[in-house]
Amino acid sequence: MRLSSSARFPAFGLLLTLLLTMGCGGPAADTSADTPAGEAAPAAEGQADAAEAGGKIAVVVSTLDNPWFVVLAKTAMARAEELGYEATIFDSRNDTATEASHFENLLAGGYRAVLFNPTDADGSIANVRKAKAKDVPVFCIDREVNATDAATAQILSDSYSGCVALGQYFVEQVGEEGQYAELLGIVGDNNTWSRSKGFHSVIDRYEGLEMVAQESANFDRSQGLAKMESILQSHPEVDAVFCGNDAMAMGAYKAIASAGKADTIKVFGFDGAEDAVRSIAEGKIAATAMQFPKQMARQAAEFAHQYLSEGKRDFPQKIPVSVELVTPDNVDQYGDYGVAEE
Amino acid sequence: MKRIAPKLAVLAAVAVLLWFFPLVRVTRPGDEPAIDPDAFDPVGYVDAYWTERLPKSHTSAAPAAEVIKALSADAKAAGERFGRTVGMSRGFFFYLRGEGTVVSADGRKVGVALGEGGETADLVLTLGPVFGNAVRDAPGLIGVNDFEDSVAYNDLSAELNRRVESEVQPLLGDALEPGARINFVGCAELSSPRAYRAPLKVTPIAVVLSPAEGAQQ
Repeated sequence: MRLSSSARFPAFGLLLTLLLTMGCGGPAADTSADTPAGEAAPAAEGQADAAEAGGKIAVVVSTLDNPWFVVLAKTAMARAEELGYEATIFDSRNDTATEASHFENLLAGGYRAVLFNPTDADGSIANVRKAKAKDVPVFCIDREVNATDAATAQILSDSYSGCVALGQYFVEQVGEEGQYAELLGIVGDNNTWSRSKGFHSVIDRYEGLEMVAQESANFDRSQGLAKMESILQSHPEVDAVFCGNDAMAMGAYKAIASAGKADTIKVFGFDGAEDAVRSIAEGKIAATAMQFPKQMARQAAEFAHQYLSEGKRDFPQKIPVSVELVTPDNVDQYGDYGVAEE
Repeated sequence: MKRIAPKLAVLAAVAVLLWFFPLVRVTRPGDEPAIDPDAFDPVGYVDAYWTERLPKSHTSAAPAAEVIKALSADAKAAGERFGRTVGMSRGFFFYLRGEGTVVSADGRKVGVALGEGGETADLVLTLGPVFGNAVRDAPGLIGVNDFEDSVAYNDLSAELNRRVESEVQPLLGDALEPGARINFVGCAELSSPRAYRAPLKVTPIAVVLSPAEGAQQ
């Protein structure tokens, strides 16, 4: 779009200045966010002056509508409380505006650290920077933000690798020919694309496997049900469905079972949710990939404790957490959002 | 009326200003650039990595015979001694080099007996589609923190795998016969110590072949 030259309207500069001084301009740039937290005269490399444990820690989670994230949030809260902090869970409801509001409130409310499951890889960066500008460390869990200078550390499921393994198993079970559908998660979340790309890095090598539908169900169970019902109407001969998380997989399975096709259409999920693991054991869902939400949540809380009480600053920016394939052959090794022994 | 006129003038001026400098700008599909000039180029990255950094690292790969012996004795201990773990994981990546004799070749895999002889494969060099992150992660030259986001990091894996398929695997093609001598560098992955099964499956990233004794040149 071409802007008219202000030279043709000499009064505009004056008017613009007037309006800006009246508060009608955009938000001021937050240059303080460029100052790394905790780098002021550290006691040693990677260390700052230790402080007392205690105070408040916020657990900001993308949604509490999905049981997997409930486990993530509650485990983070429980571990923070074990370590001597008062912890509160904030539900962003998969909405960046709600998430931003939570950050405003928690930063005004004296919270000392944030254990953060972002809603959007790009849209959540500003919230992390606001916290950093106030010397409040943010530890991302499961989902990343697309910046390496904002969060103190990011503990991330290796979704891509998990879906590579899932894709290979998909080919074993479905064969090298057939029709399949894909249910994507939230399009703004990197996990959505890491999972899809990992899966397709395998599947796309087999020309006989045809993707007849690819739709977003936003990681939501009820949307997974509705989308799968629609897909079954337009593509009744589909052989399998790959779902970017277990909530969508369970919704898709319900639609498939209602259509009387549970024995002919294979469902593949991702997460390692308790109901999906149980469903594999019962011979309903074909496979999932086990993330370790409890492990990630506990690690984030421990990192926050090390930051606040031990003065630790030299955290790796990103820590991938491996994801393991769960099938009928090894399902007995898993349960309760992790390995069975947990 | 005289007091209203200046207010109307200011409002009119503000309206004109907002027309040219709107507080909200609507972007239509198609307005955004089709190509992000700052987007990561995995092909360009791999071009330099594959021809410069990676070959220099071959000498740092672990001796395959020692790794195989250690895996057979105690896979977990072998992983801790010779392997590399990325992030939080129960698995290991191995970066290996060795020489030996080809004992089998069927177009999908090449069995190699390490050292001077033997008829049983100590390891298998796999052919066909390459999946996963062993080629990216086993040498230990590339880290997740080198990238702004995981999407680029994973695109790199896919491009490295393509490079193995297009540049290395053709060297192990139809002309390969049992008895040929082979020098190789490769990458392997164990999802967990209990997943180890002999012979170890290795993705070759560099090979040098010598014909079998008595073979037609």
